[in-house]
Amino acid sequence: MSTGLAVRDFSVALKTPAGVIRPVDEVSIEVRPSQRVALVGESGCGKSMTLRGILRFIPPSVLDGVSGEASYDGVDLAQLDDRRLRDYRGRRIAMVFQDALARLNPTMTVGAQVEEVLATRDRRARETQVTALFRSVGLDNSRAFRRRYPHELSGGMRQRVLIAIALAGDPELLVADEPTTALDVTVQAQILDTITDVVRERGMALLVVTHDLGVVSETCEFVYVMYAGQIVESGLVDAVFDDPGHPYTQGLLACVLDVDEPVEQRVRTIPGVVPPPGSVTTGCRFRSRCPAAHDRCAADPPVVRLDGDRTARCWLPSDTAGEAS
Amino acid sequence: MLRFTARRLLHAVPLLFGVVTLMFFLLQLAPGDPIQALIGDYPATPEYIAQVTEAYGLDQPLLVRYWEYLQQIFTLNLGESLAGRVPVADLIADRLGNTLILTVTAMTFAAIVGVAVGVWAGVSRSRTLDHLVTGVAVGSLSIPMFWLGQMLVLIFAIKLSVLPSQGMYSTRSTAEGLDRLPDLLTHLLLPALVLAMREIGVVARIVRTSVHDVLTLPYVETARAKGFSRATIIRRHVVRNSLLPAVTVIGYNFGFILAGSVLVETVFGWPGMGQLLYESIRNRDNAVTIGIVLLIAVAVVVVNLLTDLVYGLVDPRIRAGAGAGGRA
Repeated sequence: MSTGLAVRDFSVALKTPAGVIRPVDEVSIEVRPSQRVALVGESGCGKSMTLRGILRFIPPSVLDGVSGEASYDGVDLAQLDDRRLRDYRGRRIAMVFQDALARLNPTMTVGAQVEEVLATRDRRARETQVTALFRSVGLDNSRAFRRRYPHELSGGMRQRVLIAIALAGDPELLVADEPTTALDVTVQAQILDTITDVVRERGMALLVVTHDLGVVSETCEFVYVMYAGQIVESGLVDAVFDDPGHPYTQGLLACVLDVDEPVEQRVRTIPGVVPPPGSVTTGCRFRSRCPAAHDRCAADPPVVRLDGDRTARCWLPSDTAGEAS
Repeated sequence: MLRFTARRLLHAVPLLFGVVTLMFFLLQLAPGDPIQALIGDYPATPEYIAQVTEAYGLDQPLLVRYWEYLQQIFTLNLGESLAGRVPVADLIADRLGNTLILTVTAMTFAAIVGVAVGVWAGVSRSRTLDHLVTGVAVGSLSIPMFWLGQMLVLIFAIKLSVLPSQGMYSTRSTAEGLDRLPDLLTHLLLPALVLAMREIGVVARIVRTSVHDVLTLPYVETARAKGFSRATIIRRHVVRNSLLPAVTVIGYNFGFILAGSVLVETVFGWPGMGQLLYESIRNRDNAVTIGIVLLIAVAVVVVNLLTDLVYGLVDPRIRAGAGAGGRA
């Protein structure tokens, strides 16, 4: 029985001209089989780097090293050699990226790019499978369409092709990195529907990385909120969105447009930007932007267990609840 | 596609006109006297010289001769050779095949070896190998062809006696038809290698850089996420896309190969157009010189056009652009 993805105290260190930085700092995430999980946060908070670190997509020229554990079904991915890692990529863990135009080979037909992932050698079977895959992601599955090139398709169609590629290896876990960013709002909703549909139908697990809380609420059950390389809050989506425990989550939720409010109150932002990795070494990393910051925030805040699966890395809820181990 | 081709050929007309004009007047400026070259170091009376000059129409004013030459060219008549009064077209036709054998072999060789070496250096994670290949490539670019040619003749023809040094066929050979092929190939090896050397360096360097760039592109990461091995990724997703700049370079450099064939044919006594050009310049046989240069210009235009068409085959994005009449 599969136990899914388990990431514990996982850190990524990168080499930069200014020295070694840690954009991912002791992150713990769990994605159980058939569970749909989101990793949410602003740009530059380390979400994508967490994914890339776990799945080993960071080029050795910039990677200083990883620490902690990132395992799938109990096998530590960091310890695998290239050959064994390839058995996981595509077949067990598949990825959907943003910017589908750059993610597709411009000189290869979209049909061929899906087909090359298939395991079977039989040409008839391959054709049948590709046709079925195109249909399942809502694409025209005619021969003529499959022979088109990426630049001949719309952004939404290209994103669907990427999803078909990910599904072609029949994976257990689908990892989607900002799958709807840079698409039209109407197309975004359709792509999200497609992703949730295929994930449900196939009983796959899903890990979505996004800055869009709308995406989280539409697709996922469980959410991790990330800030400046750390997980600051986690819990079931409904619970977290109803009653956010961390001031950062509260801020993010307050930024969501509410069309019922008068225009001048609709757009809210959290003032300031995410501090660059390495600039805050002790204390709460959000305190410079936090409306509730006080003296204690200069010391590292505890990870507080609020109720059930919910945790928050903050001094405020710790006053009312017990500390997590 | 047809319109694209027609438009490109039409653009070539003023270019070729320019080549003819430039060559015609440049050759007038060159030192030496065609009549003197024709008669040779032979004491001739002024009357005889005047007679020969008139016979070749060289007593006419320059502009008149230019006008007459243009009219001639317009009817696709390249005129007659000064020596022997043979039609220039016939002289060139005799040699063109031999030059094509040499240049096309050299170009094919350069393309295959250049791409192979370039991909090898590009995908290699060893810095030393990468630098070594780049160094050798730059070296091959910098070696003068006539020097390399003579060195190879010294080593393989004179010292080791394994390859012939001159000509296209052995004079003692009595073989006919296809049986002459092995003889031709042994004669072809050295000159084709010398001619290809420069292009191998050029192509290898371009392909190496291109492979480096393509390897960092997001769709290569997509291929890795598919669980493919590095070898599969390179074969399926990197090589073809890295070839785009190489196609351009190989096609556009065909002119350089033709130009290089003048030196190589002279060094190796290859009976081609380049050798004919060399002789015509020495003999001040201007009709032949202009004829050959004009033909080379036409060849370059045609090959460049072919290059653009091949580019469309390799890159579907260009195909779409040309088909819509957008980009030329």
